[in-house]
Amino acid sequence: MKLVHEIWARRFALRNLALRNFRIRYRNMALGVLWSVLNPLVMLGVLVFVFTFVYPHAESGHAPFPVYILIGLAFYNIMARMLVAATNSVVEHVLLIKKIAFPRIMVPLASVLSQLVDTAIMLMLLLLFVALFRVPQGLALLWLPAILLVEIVFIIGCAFLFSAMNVFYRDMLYLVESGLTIMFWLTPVFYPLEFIRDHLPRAVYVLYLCNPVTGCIDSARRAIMLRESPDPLVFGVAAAVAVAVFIAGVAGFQKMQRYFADNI
Amino acid sequence: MAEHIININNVSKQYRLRTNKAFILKDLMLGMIGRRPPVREFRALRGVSFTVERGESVAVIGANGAGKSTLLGIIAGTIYPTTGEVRTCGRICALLELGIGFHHDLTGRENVYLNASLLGLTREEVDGRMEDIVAFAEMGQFMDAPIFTYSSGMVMRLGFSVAVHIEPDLLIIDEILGVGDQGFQKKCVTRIMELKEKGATFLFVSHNMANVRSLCRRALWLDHGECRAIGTVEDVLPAYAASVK
Repeated sequence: MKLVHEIWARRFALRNLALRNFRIRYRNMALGVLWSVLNPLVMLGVLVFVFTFVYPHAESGHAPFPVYILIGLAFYNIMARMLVAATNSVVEHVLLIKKIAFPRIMVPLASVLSQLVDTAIMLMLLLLFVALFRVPQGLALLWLPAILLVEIVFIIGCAFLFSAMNVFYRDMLYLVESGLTIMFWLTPVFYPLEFIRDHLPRAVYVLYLCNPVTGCIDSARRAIMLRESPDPLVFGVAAAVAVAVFIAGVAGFQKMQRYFADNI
Repeated sequence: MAEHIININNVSKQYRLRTNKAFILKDLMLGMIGRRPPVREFRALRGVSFTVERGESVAVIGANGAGKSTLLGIIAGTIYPTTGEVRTCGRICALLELGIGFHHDLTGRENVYLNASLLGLTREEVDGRMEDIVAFAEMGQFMDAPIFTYSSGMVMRLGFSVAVHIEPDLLIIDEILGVGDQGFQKKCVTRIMELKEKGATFLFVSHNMANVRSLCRRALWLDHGECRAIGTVEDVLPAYAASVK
């Protein structure tokens, strides 16, 4: 509680920290912020091209297939970008951490928040493609903010843990990057969650559900493709795991941050 | 009874000496099979206790490696003590090792906003002081250039200017008065005197005994991490000088 109060008192600083990340990312670049649009646009565009012309036979039971893939990829990419940026954040801010006493948990938090602009752009492009493919939309689309919130709570929890551990073991960044590659295939980005539920042992399905991104992708697909509310079990487990990871992240970070100045 | 702005009780700090990062993984594995690798430790501070009252100016003196910077870091809140208690109150600003942590790719102005806000100032407070900060540091047109284009003197001036303009309750200054030209040094001392009159508390680390005498009434002498003496400048300084010879 005291921590929340301290961060709230420094909300202007949180904004400055996030702005700093954003500015440094695009400083000395000719195209600047445009990259935040170009990058996902190129990626989504290539995917649409591949699954419309090169390999149009892919079946998921959900048409149109490119949109189906785009949803999975968008939610996966939001996680990947935020985690890679946040893992290094504490080490990058070594000067501030060594010289100013402030709640250090603000550093990874600001790092995740500074990616929100990219997240918003990514989602808008996604909705643009949804409109282009004329997928009819209904009120279920209103679930999207809640789904996104669960994903971001989970990401922030991970970001706290990874950024703190990276101070002591710099291998963390490589571990996170390798982990993300593995998770790319162990998250239903290119295949439906139903496939895991129907064709693999129950234990595998339970493990899948423990990954909140899985739940978020499945829920977003239901909302956008089928105009349905999320599966209560799938989305409920995702939300519960996200909150648990978040709490563990705060506790772990607060414990480790005492030794930051000694180790960087 | 006067208010204690710093209350340090039996503080010790132990560092683990790391020889080579490459051995971390090996150490981890040894740890897993129950064989703890030998850890060499270094005690930077042992059982230091003292209090500082609001409005006082205290110098911390001692040879290189005596633990002065560690002590200041602990008081500033950036380093956690291994054992012991630290209580401080109010806004603390620390100029440790010449600077308050500027980022080289950001402009002077962006850095001022970032640092001042991390120290707890609101947007309005920073806006209101920006002009004074720029004027005091004699920065002018350079405020919107990135820090990496600054000379080291400019970085130091800007850091000092931020520190004295956020009006901290406690200002910790580590070896800063030796930098900068004569004119700026004089301006710093004048500004410190002004803040003192307003009731600010100061903690100085300096090897310049003339500065210590002119700015401080009390001095704390650290020797190999232990508090060798604490008392008035007139008592402690001669004893320290004698030990150096």
